[in-house]
Amino acid sequence: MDYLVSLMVFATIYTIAALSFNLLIGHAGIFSVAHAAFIEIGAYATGILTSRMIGLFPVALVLGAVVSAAVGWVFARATLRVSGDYMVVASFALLVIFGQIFTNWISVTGGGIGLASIPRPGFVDGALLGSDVLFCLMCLFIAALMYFVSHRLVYSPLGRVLRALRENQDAAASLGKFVRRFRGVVFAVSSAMAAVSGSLYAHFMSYISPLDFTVQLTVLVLTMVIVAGTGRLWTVPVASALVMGITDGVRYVDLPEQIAPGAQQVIYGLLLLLFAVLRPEGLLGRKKDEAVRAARHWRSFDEPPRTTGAVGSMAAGSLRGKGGETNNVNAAPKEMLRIDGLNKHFGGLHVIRDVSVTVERGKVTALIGPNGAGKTTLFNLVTGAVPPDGGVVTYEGRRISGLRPDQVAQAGIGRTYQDLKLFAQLTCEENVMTAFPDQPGESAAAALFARGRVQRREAEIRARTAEILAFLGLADKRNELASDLGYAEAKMLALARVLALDPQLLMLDEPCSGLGRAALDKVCSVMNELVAQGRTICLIEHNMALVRQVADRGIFLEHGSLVASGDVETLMANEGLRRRYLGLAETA
Amino acid sequence: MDQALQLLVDGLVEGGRIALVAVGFSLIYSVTRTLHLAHGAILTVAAYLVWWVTAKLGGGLAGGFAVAAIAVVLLGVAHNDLLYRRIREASPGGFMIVVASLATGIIIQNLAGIVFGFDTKDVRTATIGQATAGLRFGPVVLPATNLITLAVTLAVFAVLGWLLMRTRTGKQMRAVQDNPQLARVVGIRTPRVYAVTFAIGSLVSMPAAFFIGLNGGLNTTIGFDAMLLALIVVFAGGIGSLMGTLLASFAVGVLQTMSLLVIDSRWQDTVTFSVLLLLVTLRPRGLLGKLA
Repeated sequence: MDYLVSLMVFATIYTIAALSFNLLIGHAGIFSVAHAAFIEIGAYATGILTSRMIGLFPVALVLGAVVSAAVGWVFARATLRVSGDYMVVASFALLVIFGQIFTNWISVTGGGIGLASIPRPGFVDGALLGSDVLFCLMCLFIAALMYFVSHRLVYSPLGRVLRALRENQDAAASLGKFVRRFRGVVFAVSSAMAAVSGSLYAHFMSYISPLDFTVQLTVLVLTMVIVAGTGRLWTVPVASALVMGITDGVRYVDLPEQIAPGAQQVIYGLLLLLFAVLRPEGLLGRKKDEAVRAARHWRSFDEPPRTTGAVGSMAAGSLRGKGGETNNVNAAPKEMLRIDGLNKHFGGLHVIRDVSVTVERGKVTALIGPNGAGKTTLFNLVTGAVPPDGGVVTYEGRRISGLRPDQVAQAGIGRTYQDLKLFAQLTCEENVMTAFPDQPGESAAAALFARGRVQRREAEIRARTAEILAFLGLADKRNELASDLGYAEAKMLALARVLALDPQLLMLDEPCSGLGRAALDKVCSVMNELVAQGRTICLIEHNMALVRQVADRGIFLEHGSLVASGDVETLMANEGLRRRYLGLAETA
Repeated sequence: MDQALQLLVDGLVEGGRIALVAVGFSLIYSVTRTLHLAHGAILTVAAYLVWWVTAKLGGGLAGGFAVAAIAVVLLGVAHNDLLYRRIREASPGGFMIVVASLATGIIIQNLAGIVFGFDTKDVRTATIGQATAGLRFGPVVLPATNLITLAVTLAVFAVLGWLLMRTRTGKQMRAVQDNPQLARVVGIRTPRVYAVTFAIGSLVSMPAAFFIGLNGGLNTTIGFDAMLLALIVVFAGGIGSLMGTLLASFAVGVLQTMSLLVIDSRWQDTVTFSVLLLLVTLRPRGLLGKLA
């Protein structure tokens, strides 16, 4: 009985640890090996508090979580530009640093000898005081609470943004998501939960030492996450109990004295290795259904679709001729985007040289020029993805150079990428829904506590997403993963996603390249419709016949310099340009 | 002053030990983009083998190093050919490589403990005895083992530099490092280059764990612990730059020992790792790195 209870306690503690780790690596796609350090922070913070300062376990528990969250938040923001293997390395350093602090700050932590006589939380006076059974019940309750919190967050707009960040950070930023904030939030939440598991551990064992929280603990929790399948949720408690049961059970097998100390590690090492090689998607295999499930989870709160806003009119809109003259754009100044003396160097390469040009409101402007002319770089400079070395970009009279990509997006500029940068493991619907601005559910607090408000906005967004998908001919693909789409469909989805942002200026990087006739016509009619709605388009395009067909104005770049800009027909008539570039394209 | 000089020399020796671990890791990572976290555990095995052959079998240090050399080459190449290759093909991105190499690292170092015992071994007494021959430059003492550590480190870098710059194999490795796709297109057999890189990368680091064991005793985690420091030194020095790895190693070694002048020795590692963490987050390219 005692053994079963303690097994149960460990299963819940590890479940909390694995849930928090999975939030970070599975959902947000941030692989940090410092997780043991956050568990350690929770264990020590609460252990020190309850053994030396305040006796109240719940208060200590919360304080420990807050401290850990703060450390996680700072680390996340400091390592913003660090990803992949660099993140692994940086987090190793953090793990070592905290291990050293807890080992050497002897006056506070007890040093390498450890922190002893951490009191069991006293529940009530009497027989049950500090009993294992009551402690076990408390662990179960807290684990259930943590599972509930994970569930709320994972299946909320916040969870969707995290998964989008995991799939493509740059694309998420270009859709107005402030990457640093989300990174900080997920790290803070994950670290706080890890600290909770550490606190429970400390108060169950009543003794902790730095040796309990080495990289081996990270690897053990990692094993649970991998067995559960990264990015999954309900399998986490199952996998945690399973892995814990297997490794813990080894202690009760009568092993020769020489083998015993290493047997546990060898066993979970083997388990981890087997899964990494044979079943990297976890116990249940590929998690495609998970994304669909996430979508379905929210669908149950659907309200009947309402037609709202500018996007709504798209569905009804018919194919019209180009030119925005019919719209009420006359009142506003003609010039929408102004680029003044823009410069960019990459090492010794001067990729954008003193470019000054404007984009007119309500028009389609084509950015043309040979490969390597700096067209995409110009897009990156305008949208804030790459900082310029000099020069000013003004949008609607407001200086936007120096702003972050998400701020530029929120100002009303939407951009697509030549390589699309879709959120591959999200469904089409989720790809589009992610991009909507003003989502209250992107805040962790709202996702947890203001469910009504979140759901109302979610239903609204879902309805508009359906319209946008239908407008681009993707209505029947809404529950398919973006990675399963064909080439033309993927390009449509990239358009759909940027439209969700409701941008006034669309910067489209080769929206037509590689498309067949039917898809090409579709893209052209979509662009016509968008212009008819009063939007402005700037696109990169190589096909001159197509440029003539869709564009009003052209900007011709070569070797990073502006060669000419103006009316498309005038540009086409220019003999010099013809010979240098356009002529070639026309005969092709 | 005398003390500072002595610490400086000791720091260079410490830097040499770091550099030896780092150089193999650096080579493997820059050529194959594999975060080979089992590197540390493999070095632990090497140190155990040297100790075992020398002290228990009476095969002499030369015999011990020979056996260890064969073992690390086999282990390194096996990791690449049996493990990493499969994972690279199955799941793109380095995540599963890190997971798998953490796993094999833990398995290997614990198996080493099971085979050779988990107690800390006094390698010095068991292999070279307590002889304290060495050089003395005025106030600075340089024991023979430290001198050898430094000499081996510099020799390894010199040979590796020659190999990469002058030999056909080395040029192929640099080509793969620069652009794997292009290398394949021009007919370089990348699988072979990968295998050779793992073999050489494991071999050049082979003496490291033994030298570390000489200094502070041998146990199952010395390879992994040494690798943690070497790992971040490699990134701080700059990926793809052997010179960056060497300079960063010496700089960290000197920082480790010189910091003793101002702080208590127990905060040595905290300071070192904090400085390196800052460096890696603020300047991901590293000191002399070519890549962002």
